[in-house]
Amino acid sequence: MSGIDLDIYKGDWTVIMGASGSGKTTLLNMISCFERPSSGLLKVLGKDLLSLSDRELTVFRRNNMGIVFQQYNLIPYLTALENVEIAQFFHSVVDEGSARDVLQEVGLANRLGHTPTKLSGGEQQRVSIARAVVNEPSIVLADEPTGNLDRANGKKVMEVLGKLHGKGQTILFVTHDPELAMWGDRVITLSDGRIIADVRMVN
Amino acid sequence: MYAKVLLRSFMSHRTRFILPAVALLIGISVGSGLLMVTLEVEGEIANELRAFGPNLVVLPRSEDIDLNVGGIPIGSVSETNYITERDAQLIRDLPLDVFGDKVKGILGKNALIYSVVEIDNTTDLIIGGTWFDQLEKINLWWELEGSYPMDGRSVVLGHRAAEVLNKGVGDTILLSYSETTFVDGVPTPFKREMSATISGIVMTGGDDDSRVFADLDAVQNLTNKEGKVSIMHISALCNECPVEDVAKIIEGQIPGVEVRTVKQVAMAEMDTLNLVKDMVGMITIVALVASILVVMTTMTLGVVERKREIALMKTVGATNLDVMVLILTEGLIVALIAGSLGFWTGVLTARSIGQMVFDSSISARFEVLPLSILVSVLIVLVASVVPVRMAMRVEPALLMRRD
Repeated sequence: MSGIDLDIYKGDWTVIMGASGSGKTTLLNMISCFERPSSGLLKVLGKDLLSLSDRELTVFRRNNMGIVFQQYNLIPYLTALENVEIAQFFHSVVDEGSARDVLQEVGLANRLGHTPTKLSGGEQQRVSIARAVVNEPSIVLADEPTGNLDRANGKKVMEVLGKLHGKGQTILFVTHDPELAMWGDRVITLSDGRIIADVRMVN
Repeated sequence: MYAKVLLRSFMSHRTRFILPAVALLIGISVGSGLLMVTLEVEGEIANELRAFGPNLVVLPRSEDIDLNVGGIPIGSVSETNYITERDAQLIRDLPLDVFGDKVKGILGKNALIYSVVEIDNTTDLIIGGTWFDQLEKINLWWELEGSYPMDGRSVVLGHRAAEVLNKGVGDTILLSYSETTFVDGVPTPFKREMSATISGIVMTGGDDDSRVFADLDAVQNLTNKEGKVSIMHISALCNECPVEDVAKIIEGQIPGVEVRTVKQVAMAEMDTLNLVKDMVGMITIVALVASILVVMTTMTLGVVERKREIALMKTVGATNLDVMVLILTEGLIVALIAGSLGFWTGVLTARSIGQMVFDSSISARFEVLPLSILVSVLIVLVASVVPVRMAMRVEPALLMRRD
């Protein structure tokens, strides 16, 4: 990546788009505190991430970010409810009530006791979203969350994200699908590690 | 939540935990079993070694008399001494607590008086007067046909002596003793005879095969040596001590005697016991090292299998410390279970070895239980170093990569 000069605004659904290899995931990794840029300034919520140690980055991410992956990444031997609770466990304290509430919000109130093997792909991804938002993070980062889903399930996942955004959740969403990009408030297009377009959508 | 994660992890990956548990169990079984055998059977080994004979001899304290002519030393002579029967009795009656914790027990303390007698007016033999009840306890390698004498009118013959005399159990022999004594400076012949029945014939494998043995009092009386003892044999079960310490204690109690160790026997005992302990130690170390390697390998494989799970935990906020605690807790639970079970399988191991090798029943030594658990925990901690370091190096960004 080079020459990236970017501000992400609170409350926005910002879409990062580009072809495979354009640098979308790398950009997301840096903002998520998974990777460090080799130079420059990276501030999230006013914090200079380059000045933090690895442990401090982990704590910062835990307290401020929720991450949704393309591959759900649920713990296979925990139920849907427990997969959400584990995010609470490492954050602060387990609150079963709020974990249930979040799962209800993503439409899985009757699937709480199911392990991932007993959930469809779309349901697993919704559990993943619930896990990402249960601690009320300042920002949700989603890396091609519908990439492994069929159209119908993908739509359900986008609707969940849309609902969260409607409540004011800041979302940073990576996709290569122009149709999905239409959900965002702002679309930033990358190519070869550079920003080639930055468009605010009119909804 | 933590307990839930641990329990679910155990249930869903049982084989990942069973293999290190079995490896630990085997290592702890071997170690604890052999330790229990060593603790219980050390005395048994010492007892077996006591069959070699006495490890201490008591002699009269000899005093050299320097000779000189005109002030020029020409040498020295030793006055022939005996141990008094009174001292012999004192030694026999010494209570065990005189030796403190150095001696676990005394197998026997035998007094002997030696002289030369004529048998049936034909053959000269060495006669040993002895306490047969003590001789029986010490000379365990003697093979006896018949029985030891119950009174002063019976004797036991060495088998070579019996062949020379052409005598067997139940036959009668005449024992004669003669010497010249000095009464008021006048040489006076002394002669005594005793008729005795042969109650037993022994095969000893040594010089005693050519001797005759009778009751101490009877021989003292026959040979005009009332109240005298030539030598004492003591078989002491020494408690991990050099048997010289026991010798010094006896000399301290009975000043008129000199106590010497039967070096070869004492050394053989100590060497054998040390050899057994060293061997047990080596086997235990090998078993424990093997356990460490198996546990380390399976834990490392477990981390490799769970890389994505560990990366996920880090993305939802687990620090390296959290990951380390999780892996160590899993390992320590296995250690506690394997350490406890290993103790009980060790009891079974010890009992089997005790029966097969020593024909002895080994009891469960509960003081070994906390040691078993502690060693099991230490094994897991050592084995965890590599897998924990590997887990700490797992990057959460792993999850962002697409398969």
